[in-house]
Amino acid sequence: MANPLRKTGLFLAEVDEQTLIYDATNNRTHCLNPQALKVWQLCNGLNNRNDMVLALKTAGHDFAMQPGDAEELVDAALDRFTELELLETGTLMTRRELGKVAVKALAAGLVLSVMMPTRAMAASGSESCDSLNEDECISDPSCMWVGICINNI
Amino acid sequence: MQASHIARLSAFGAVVEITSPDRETLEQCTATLPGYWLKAGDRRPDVCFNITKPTHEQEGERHFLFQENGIPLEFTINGTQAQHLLAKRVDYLLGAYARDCAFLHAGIVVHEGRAILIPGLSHVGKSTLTAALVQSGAHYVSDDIAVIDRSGRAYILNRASNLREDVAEIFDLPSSAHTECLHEGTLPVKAIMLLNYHKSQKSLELSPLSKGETVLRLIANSMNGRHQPETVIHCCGAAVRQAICCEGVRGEAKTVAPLILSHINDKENIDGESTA
Repeated sequence: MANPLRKTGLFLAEVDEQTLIYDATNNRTHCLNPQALKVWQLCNGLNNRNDMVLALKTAGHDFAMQPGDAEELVDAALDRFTELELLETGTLMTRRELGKVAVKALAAGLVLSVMMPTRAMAASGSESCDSLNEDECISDPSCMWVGICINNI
Repeated sequence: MQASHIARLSAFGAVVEITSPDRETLEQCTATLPGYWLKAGDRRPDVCFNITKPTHEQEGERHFLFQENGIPLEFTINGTQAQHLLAKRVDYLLGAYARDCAFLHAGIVVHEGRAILIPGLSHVGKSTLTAALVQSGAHYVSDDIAVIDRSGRAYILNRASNLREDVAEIFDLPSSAHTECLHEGTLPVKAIMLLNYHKSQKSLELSPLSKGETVLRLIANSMNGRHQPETVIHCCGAAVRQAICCEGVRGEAKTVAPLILSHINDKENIDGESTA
């Protein structure tokens, strides 16, 4: 398996400390927090997961992060990038390859994502999921939040 | 071959072409459109409306066939119905085809010279909250659509559709001409409030929202995001930079509207002090 390589041809915009990434291939917009952005920048095809962990441990204080959290953070970020197709095909990480299954809440906090609504979706009054917990969640194909429940953010 | 009269109009980069069998019908129809629709020249239309020659006369009224991009929408409508249908369709399609701005599903009011946005899709209570904010001292701009330019400023538009009549009645407000005291143009965005109405909620619970997430939430309420994704991201990103961004749960609009305005003022004062 090749080292993770970030997808090219994406539109990037900075808002405050966060970075917005628009992917025209799937009409999704992602919002990366500074930690996720750091990992994403390290996905240059040269670094493997362990290299990234080491880089984050070194830069830990920049993100108010303990060095011990670096491993979990890299795993969570790579897991989320894979889920959201932010890495080039062929460099996507399988969960087995990651040190451990990332904590979903951590992964969700690193990268938020929405689908650009179609004109019909925008006009139909479809809303993001408003169930209070996953048990009550009604599977709604028009939900614009990708991979996470808005109430669990 | 039937002679036809054509008007090609543009607003916010969207172009519509209206074809009518006679000049009078065409002028009546275009007259109902808001003043920001201007002559488009030779630009290629995004949507073509065709009002065909009268199909029949009924009680002295001429009836038309109304087509959108060649597809019949209504078969027998009179002149007034044609005007209303055209205005409604043009308004709807403008949101999808607009360029160089972000069209958002959002209520918008002006308070102390700056815009407050209440984003949300249909039936989430935007109109009710907008009306309640107006009753609490804000100025009405729109209860359904907000338009943001590339510098992040909100357009103050005199649009044809105004406060929903049922909502206006509840709050004892006139259903039109709320923008009279505001000049058309743009204003900076003061606050973006993403609120869900819960029946059981007594008051207002707010928490700050990051700028990035606020942009995502605006995008999720955009009308032209699919057509102009980079523009919409840019415009929304510019709008949130100086704005107070909050999400929360609200109770009845009448109760929470004054609380929303005072929260924004308090937050502004705190931010102003910390900046100073």
